[in-house]
Amino acid sequence: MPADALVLVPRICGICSVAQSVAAALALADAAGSSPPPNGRLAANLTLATENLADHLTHFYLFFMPDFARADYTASRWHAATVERFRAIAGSAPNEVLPARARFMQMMGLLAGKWPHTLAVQPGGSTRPLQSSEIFRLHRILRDFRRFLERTTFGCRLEEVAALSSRNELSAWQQQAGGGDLRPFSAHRRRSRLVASRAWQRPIHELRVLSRSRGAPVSRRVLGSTIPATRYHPDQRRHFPCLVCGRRFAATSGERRHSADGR
Amino acid sequence: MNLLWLQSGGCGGCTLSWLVSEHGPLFRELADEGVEILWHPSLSEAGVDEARELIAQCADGRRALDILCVEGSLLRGPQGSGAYHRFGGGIRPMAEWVRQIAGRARHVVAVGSCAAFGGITAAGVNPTDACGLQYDGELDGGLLGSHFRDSSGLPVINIAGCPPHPDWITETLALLAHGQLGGSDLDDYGRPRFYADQLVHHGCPRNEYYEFKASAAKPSDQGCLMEQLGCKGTQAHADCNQRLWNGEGSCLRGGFACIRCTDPGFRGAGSRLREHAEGCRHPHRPARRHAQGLVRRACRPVKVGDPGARARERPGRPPVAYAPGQAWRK
Repeated sequence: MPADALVLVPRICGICSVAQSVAAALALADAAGSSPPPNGRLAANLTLATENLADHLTHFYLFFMPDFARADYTASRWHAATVERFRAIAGSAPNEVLPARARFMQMMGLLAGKWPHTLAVQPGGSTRPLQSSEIFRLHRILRDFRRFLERTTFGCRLEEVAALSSRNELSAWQQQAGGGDLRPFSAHRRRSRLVASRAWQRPIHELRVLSRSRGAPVSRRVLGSTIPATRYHPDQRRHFPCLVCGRRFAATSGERRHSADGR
Repeated sequence: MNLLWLQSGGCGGCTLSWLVSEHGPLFRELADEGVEILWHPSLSEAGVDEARELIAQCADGRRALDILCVEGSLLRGPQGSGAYHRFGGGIRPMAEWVRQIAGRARHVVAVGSCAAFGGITAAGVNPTDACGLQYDGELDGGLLGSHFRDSSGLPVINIAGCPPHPDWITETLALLAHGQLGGSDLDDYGRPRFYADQLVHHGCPRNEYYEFKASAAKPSDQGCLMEQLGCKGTQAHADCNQRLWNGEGSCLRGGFACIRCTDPGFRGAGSRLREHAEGCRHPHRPARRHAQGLVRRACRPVKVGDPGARARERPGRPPVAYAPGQAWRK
């Protein structure tokens, strides 16, 4: 049944679980001819952006950099420092990054209930209405994460990194003092194809919009046997297959429930 | 205690969930508890090629192994050969490695519902013939057989959940390292009782709605998610609403229904969710049609940002006591 997709699809991959959820939800919304209300879209996007940011961090610190601590690179002059900093499990970076990552993923506790494998992202938006105090808490977590990135990862303000738009600018930035984990990495390894990511800007932007419009609905019922409101004329009576059980039922308006009056 | 972690048919989400442990650096905590990771496919420096020798040593007993953790279900197909997953491109199927190492390890831990019961990987027609270590869904048996006991006399320890809470994993490992986990600490399905003795319902912030039978009609509504959205929190064994996820979350707090992912029968919400949503009602409820009338009256739409403002009092109607353990009537 269509609703199964929201359970099965995220479980394709535990790393990009929400990305899969969003894809499934969009496909279902498309099939139903519906779209989430603006706040629902914001909340779902914010959930996706949070996972996306966390994955950048996980990839860099836990999956990618430990490779440079391998014995294959002993001859390189940066090897000793890399071993101390990035060695798998025992290095100083993994043990510093995991708590920061866990703190950042508290965004998910508020936005999606849990991570990975949430059902908060739905074709009709998000299941999680955010109160203003919760939006404040999201800001607080995001600020903490920004501080961590600026102090530990980049050694400069995020805006500086985001403004790097060419390879030359990146090289110039590497030469500057400031420390951080990314600078020596790019200096020593000449990862010239690295492009500064602007992914961090997205949650900030969406949080801003969300704070301005709090109180608006975040979800529209799509799968729970309601008909998308936009597609049919309200007075038009027609049969519509219930997306949960597949039975057709007569419907007149967007918010009519399948089972409520037994039709 | 040393620990070997193997992954087979699954999404890797259990490891990722484990990494969001919120009690300081996870690796340091493990070291403090005396758990040493010999090899983990995502976290260790050694690749599969280098790990093969280590794993062979664990399998033939040249290296004593204390804890074998398996994440993901074991693939027995096609035709019982196990060839759908050969470890690291070698010849021997993963299921065979796991069977051998499990026979020698001091403890065997199934991390997640896939490794415990088959889980999502075994959903539908189960084309890969996936199963859990000691269970195939609700049936005991699985890869190792129902009579399997590790060298300390324990069955497979099933940290069921999709994914399991990071603390469930860490605490189970710590208990094993301290020799504090005995047979009486596991429930009927081999799940550690420190979390499986609870129900998701316990501590659910929507319990008042449940008791007053005020049901949510759609996601993001306030109200109990059981009747119309098929929440299975009253039957799901886990402490999700007491030990919160990612700071202050849980499925119910996230506004969506519990799908009972710690359950041996968990293979996706699908048909079960529908069956539940159609057939369920609150205990003590006389008839479904009547119940729906009550719900419509009790649960008029509540605006977001207006918590508990309306429709929560129904004068003259005493709340029905929650009766734990009461059997479901269909």
